[in-house]
Amino acid sequence: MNRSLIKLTKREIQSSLGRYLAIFAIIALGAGLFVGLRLSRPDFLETYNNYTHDTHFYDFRLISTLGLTDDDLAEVRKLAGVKLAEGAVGADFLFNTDDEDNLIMMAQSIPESVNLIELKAGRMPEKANECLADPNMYSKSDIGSTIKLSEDNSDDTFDTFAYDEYTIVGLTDSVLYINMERGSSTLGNGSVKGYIYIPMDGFSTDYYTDIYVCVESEGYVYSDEYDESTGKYVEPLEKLMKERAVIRRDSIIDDAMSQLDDAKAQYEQGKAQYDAAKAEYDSGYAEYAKKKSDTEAELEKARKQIEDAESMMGDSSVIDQKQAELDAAKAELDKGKAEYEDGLRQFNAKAALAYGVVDEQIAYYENRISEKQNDIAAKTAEIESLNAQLAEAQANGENIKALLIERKIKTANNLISLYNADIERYNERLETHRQKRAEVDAQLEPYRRQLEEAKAKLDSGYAQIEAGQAEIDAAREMISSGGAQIAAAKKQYEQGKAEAERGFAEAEKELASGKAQLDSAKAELDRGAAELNAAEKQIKNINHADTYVLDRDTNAGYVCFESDTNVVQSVASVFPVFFFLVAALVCLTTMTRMIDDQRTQIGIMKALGYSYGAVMGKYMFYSGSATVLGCIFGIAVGSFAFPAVVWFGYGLVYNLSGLMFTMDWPLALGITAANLAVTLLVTWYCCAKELKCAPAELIRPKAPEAGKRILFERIPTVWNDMSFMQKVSARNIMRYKKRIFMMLLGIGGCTALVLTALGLNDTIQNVVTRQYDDIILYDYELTMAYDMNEEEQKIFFRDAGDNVKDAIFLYRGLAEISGGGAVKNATLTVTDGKGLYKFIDLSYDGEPIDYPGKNEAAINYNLARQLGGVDVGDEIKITTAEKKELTVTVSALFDNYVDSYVFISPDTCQEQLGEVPEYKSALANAPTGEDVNACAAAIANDVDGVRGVTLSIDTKDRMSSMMDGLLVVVAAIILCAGLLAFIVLYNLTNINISERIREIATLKVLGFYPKEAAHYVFRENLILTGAGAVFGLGLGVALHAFVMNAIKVDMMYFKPHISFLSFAVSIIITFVFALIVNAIMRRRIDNIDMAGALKSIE
Amino acid sequence: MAYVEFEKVKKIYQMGEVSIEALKDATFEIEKGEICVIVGASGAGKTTLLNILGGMDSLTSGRVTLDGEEISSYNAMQLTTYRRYDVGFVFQFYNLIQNLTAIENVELAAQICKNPMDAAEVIDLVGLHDRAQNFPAQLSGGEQQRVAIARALAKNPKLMLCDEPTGALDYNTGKAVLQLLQDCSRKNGMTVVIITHNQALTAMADRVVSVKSGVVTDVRCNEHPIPIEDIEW
Repeated sequence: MNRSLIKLTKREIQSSLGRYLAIFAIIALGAGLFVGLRLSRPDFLETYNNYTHDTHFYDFRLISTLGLTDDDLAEVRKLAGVKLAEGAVGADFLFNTDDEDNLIMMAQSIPESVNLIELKAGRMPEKANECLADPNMYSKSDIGSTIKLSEDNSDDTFDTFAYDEYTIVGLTDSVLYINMERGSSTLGNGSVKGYIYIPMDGFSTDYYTDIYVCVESEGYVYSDEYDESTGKYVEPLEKLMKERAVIRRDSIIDDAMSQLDDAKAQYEQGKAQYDAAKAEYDSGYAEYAKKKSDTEAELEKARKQIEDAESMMGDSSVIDQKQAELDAAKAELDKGKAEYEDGLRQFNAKAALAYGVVDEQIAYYENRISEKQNDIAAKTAEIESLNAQLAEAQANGENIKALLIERKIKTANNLISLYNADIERYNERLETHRQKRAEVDAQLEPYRRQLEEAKAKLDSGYAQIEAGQAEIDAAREMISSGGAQIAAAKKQYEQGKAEAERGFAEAEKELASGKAQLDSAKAELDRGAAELNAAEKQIKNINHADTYVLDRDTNAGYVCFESDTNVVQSVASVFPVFFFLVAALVCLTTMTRMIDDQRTQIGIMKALGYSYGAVMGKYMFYSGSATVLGCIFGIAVGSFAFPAVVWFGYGLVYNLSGLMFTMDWPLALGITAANLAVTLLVTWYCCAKELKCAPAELIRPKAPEAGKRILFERIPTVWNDMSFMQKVSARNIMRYKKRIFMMLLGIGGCTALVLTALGLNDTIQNVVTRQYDDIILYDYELTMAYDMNEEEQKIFFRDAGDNVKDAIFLYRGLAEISGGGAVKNATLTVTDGKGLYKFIDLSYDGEPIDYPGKNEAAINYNLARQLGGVDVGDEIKITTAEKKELTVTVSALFDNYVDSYVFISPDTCQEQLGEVPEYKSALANAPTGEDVNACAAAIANDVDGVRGVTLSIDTKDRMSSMMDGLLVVVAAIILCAGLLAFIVLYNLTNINISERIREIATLKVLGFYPKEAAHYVFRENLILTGAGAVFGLGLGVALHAFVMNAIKVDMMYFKPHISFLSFAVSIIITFVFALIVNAIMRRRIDNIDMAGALKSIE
Repeated sequence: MAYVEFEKVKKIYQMGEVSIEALKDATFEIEKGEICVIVGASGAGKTTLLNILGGMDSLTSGRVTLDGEEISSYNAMQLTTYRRYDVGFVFQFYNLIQNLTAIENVELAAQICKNPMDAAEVIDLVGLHDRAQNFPAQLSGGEQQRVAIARALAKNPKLMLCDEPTGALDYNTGKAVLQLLQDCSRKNGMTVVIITHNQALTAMADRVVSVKSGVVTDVRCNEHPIPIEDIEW
């Protein structure tokens, strides 16, 4: 290219800057949007990947239903490939805010190595009762305030936490909760509001609830590489956890048993103490009772004495009378005594007479006997000595002497026998006499007894008299010593009595308190016993621990982020293609026009001898440079702007900050190359057509496009009714076929893009509103602890009272559905379908479906689609969560937008499984007009057997906020589509005016007012805009359907839906842009230099 | 007072830093019903003169009146109205609307006037009765220029301005067009101003204004204008 050509090109660009910029802008927009949207997901993933890397987001989360210990942790750390492992505690509790009571807060222990937190404000907790709060719930101004456990928390919850109240000292993000999802809880209404991080010491548990593990992993988040590299750890971890679970159970049981034993021993000890105390009390009580009665008797006696004394003192005659009485009695006694003595004398005489003879005889024989006994003794002694003599004699051999001695012995023995016979005889006689004496005794006995009785009477009489005398004497003395003594005695008595009473009262009090203590001790002991029993039972019931090795896919934030970014990706992959097409189209129009304009110049250049290539080079450079600059600018701006804008949208949902930007060079270069190729091709096409002509032909002005009659004119009724200007417009519109095509396609394309974007918005909004307003009619879903048979249902309704309008009980569980060659997860519901319509609307295209019968199933349309187009009549297999298999025929499809559902009747289960699964779920409605939250909380707290409550409104809110992120993408696209529409319209109108500048000038010269001249052009423009918009609506519906089909998000079905408003808005937007463009162009028309325009020939 | 009066008209074009004086104190008059030929070399300023007279351009200083109205004091809107009702133009390159038939081009002008002539009559008048329904592209140059004249005539203007009306036409056709213009003036009493560089044409004029380098060098009246057919060049 020589210098003048370069100069020419430069000037060309300067003079037609508008056109140049139009190409530049449209290419920049197309390329920027394409690359920007394409980069959004990689940027997000890069950001998230970095975040998870920096915070050491866990790869595995280990859970055991029995908790985890330091030993478990140590074992996990020993596993090959485990980089980091940390035990953590997480527990939820109820708390109150100013507005609402019993919200649920999730408390987590502050991590040291895994799932690190990032302080956003304030400082880290230094004390165990300080916490970091959820920035979604609290702001900087809340630092210093406290979060208090509500009084409605269970004892277990209070036991879990070391304090009842935690002071917020800072705010922190958490890699565990990157979106709004805070998980669910078994407390309250089930939906967790926020989290706090507290030091490990803030918990009073002695075990970890989770162990978070980071392993050696490769690849990006969500990548197959990552899944593969971490997948191999699942098995060893699961194996380890199972082993540890057994150990854990044993140790828990051991611990519990030893604790139980301790407790039992303590109980026994307590019991013994109690018993001892009880005995002490009893004896004390007895002592008290005895002392009391003794003292009372003594006091009574004293009182009587005093009373007597008082009465005596009051009247001395009484004493005298008593003395006289006493004297008389004494005299009587004395007389009796004399009589007695007389009688005694008579009796003694009589007895002496009676005993005299007998006693003499007895004494005689007794003497005789004793004499004879003496004799015997003498003889016996004699015999002894004789025997000694005999022995001596025999030893000496003095036989004769011996014989003599023997004889003497014999004689002595004879004598002894004689004496004994005498004694016998005497004894007989003695006996006789003794009998006689006994007879006498018997005769005398009554008399003796009479006497003795009289004597006793006398003695007691005298004693009485003596006592009476003493009394009288004492009384006399008292009297003589005056009232003083009585008074003293009385005082003493009173004192004694008071003292005694005080003593008793004290003793009684002491006893009572002792009794009370004993009673309470007893009650405590009883309770202890009951507790021990319960504990023992509990220990026996400790189940084997269920252990779970959970990967990141169980983290709501992690999963949502993937699906949300996938949506962006889906949108990004379909949409920009259309921008690209429109951009190419605009380029084509512009270049065609430009080359048409410069036909003469091309001819001159050729005539001057410039080569084909040189001439073409100029245009190639013109369009090519605009394209390359546009691409560079667009990609540079777009790759930051679009991810940033979309990120802003997601920032409303995700707590991730600091977007990382990436660049996909192949993509950027590819899109630039593609754009360049298209523009150059278009330029070449336009140029080649012209360059083929001979220079002479080119230099001659191109014969103006001939005016033509249009088809309309052949319909005279229509044509004749049109005003002259209308006719002109109609004919003008039809004049340039290419221009019509460009306008229709360009404007139509923009309308289509706007409509598609708006429709995308409608469809997405529709998912939430349709799902939660039209399909899910129940207010809450309840999880029950046990099978709800009719009896239990009655109890439930009784307990729930006013908090439930109506409810249906059914089985709900996750199931695998296979059919059509695919396997998908869905929620399986078993119910007979009666009354279900009040809770879930099962309809297809607005027509309620028939509830499936035996061996039939109703599945949602999206599930059928995901299963590869399963249709009514096809067979599917259901594998329940309990691993039971059912084979059923699809009897109906129904509309559903979020998640997948399968409905079957209990008859099917009865027939194929032989049993109906337990109905442990319930769908319920709150009474109309009641606060759903309050009702849910009331049900969760007050109704037995309710394990969890999930509010539909919460799910809806969560879904909506998730959708909001997507809506930002859509808004960005709408904006770009609008911008594109504007550029296209501007460009087309610009070209239109350039082409007709002479015509317009002519009109002006003819005296058309500016308004009229502008109308002459714009009437056509508006008509074409209208036609383009209508065409665009059709195109938009098709494009929308295509885009929606291309956007695939698991468990969510986007049913193409465009609201009437969107149609209206997209047309209005198109027209607003057209009018803005017209307003800008109006100035250009006004400024046309008539003279100049008319003078020259093009 | 003359029908058209130019009084010390000065026109300076400002082209960036360079100012070009296109007209220097141009002063002349034209009477009603006259054919006036303004003659001069290329760049002499004759088109500027015509543009100012036709209300397509403003002047820097001086005064221009038509029928007692001072058009040099008009604003853009008044100028448009002036063009609409009082002036008819005929250009070198016809400037017909390509998408309208001959008669429609005439109607286009006629329909915005207060007192237009009947389009069909005018077409007859210029001798294009048979070509009335043809589009410009289907007409020869002369025929196109006749349509242009018809369009100007149909407005029934006070003044007809023709800028090199024969410039793009061959000799005979050019003559025929001039004849038409002359006839118009003579039959309808129309004031016609013709710009040309062709000195030969001055013979047909009632009045000749010579322009050279922006200065009116000479204004003279022909007592006996020669009919077109008698002029040779």
